[in-house]
Amino acid sequence: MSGSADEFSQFYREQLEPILRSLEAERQQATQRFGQITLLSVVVGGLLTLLLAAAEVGLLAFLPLGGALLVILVAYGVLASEWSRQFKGRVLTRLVQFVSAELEYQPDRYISEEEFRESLLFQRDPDRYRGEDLIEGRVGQTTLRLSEVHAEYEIEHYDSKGNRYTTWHTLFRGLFIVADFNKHFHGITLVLPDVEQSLLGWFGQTLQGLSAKLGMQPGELVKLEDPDFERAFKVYSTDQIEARYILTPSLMERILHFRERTQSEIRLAFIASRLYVAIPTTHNYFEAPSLFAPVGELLKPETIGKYLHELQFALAVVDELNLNTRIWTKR
Amino acid sequence: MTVATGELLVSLICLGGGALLLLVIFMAMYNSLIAKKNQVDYAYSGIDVQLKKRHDLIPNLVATVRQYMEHERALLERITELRARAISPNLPDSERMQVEAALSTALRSLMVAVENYPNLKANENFLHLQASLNEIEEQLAAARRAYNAAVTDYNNAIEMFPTNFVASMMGLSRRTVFEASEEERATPDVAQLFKQ
Repeated sequence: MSGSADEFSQFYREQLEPILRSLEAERQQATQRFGQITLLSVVVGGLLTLLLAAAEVGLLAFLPLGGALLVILVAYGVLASEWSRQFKGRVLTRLVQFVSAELEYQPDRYISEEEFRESLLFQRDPDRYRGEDLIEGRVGQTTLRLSEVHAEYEIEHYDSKGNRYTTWHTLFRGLFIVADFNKHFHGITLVLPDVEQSLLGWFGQTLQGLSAKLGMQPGELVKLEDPDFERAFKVYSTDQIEARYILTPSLMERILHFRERTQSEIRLAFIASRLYVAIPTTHNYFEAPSLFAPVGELLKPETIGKYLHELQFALAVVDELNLNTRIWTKR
Repeated sequence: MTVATGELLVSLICLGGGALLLLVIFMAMYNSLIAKKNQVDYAYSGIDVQLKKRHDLIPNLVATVRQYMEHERALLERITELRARAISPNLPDSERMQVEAALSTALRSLMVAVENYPNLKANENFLHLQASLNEIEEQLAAARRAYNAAVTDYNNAIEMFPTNFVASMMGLSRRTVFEASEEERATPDVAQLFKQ
């Protein structure tokens, strides 16, 4: 994985800057076109409205103005999505390749709902599932796939008259990572945020053990010896020894550190030699700058630097969890 | 039915119900203690499995490195001898764990000594054996930790109220956890060794 400051500035000068210049020109063209369309629609719509008003047709007179608004909205939608497509396709694709030549970026694809369900990280299945910005490939010896994911569930309600209505709630929103783990294992081990024990102490732990016995979580509760880790997480596994084979004292420390770095309630699942990581965040990663960004904003190195940081953050899991150390039988 | 027999019947039912409840609680505690005891035995057998794997690996490892490591004859002989003692069937359990600990230390020094033999580090067969040994050591550490967790759970149960009464009736006694040796506590950073 490359990414030193020198390498980046060279890459920026040689490859990105020419593209960014032509993109900036295109962006300005697009905003101009949007300005023209807006002006034209307002003028035409306004004139027609005035004419109709003169003909005394009542509220119907506002119809052309409404039509003009619709045209403006559609024009914005088309131009903004084309801009985003161009930016992601031409800039982010190259940036991902710069970070590692073995990675590929596909803005419209995402981690499948099936994979999300397979992770067993969330206790219910999503009713609505979306995502974008898939990054796929290898970092060192570790194969991984990651994307933004937004999973929601639906709750039915009935009002006092017995009418049914539904509300949507977020199950998970953030970065979802599926990576090849550096050890072989067969069972399921889940590392989930610990809420019960931090609230209820010893009794909370008893409840956690019970929830495994009742089949709400796979396997049984695993009590680990690192007190900081135990405070932050609860662990369930189908195999007590395998859970400890995966969660070595050093990996527990690394997971704690990773949690601090992400500053969020991360969840990890270890299933059949694969690692699933869910990092909840409300930040929209790898999003194109606004179509109406100030002139020249795009050409500032900080603008692109931000994307590099986002990318390094998303891929940090490999180094943070030491996935490239392959000293065991798995190569 | 007179009033007196009615009252007698009610108190009998209450008594019976109470006794039944006590029996159920006793059974639950009894069973959970047995489950914890079995968990300890199961975890112990987990350690055993890995130790056996290590015994099986050693002759192969020694044979492979012998050709390269002329200056480590003494160390190799010690490893072979320790292995022979570890697998002898009439070794008492307490002594056996000491022998295994000595074997761990000797194998660790061997892996450090390997760094002085670049030819060996290029040998595909050796690299494979080294990865297998790392794997076994990692699994062994996991099995030990699982055993310690099971023992702690078990010890807590036999000392805590109210399961301690049932435990003393069953004649269960405390077990001891594995103490990590000084060297083990300073977790060997195997990754570091590979980078040199």
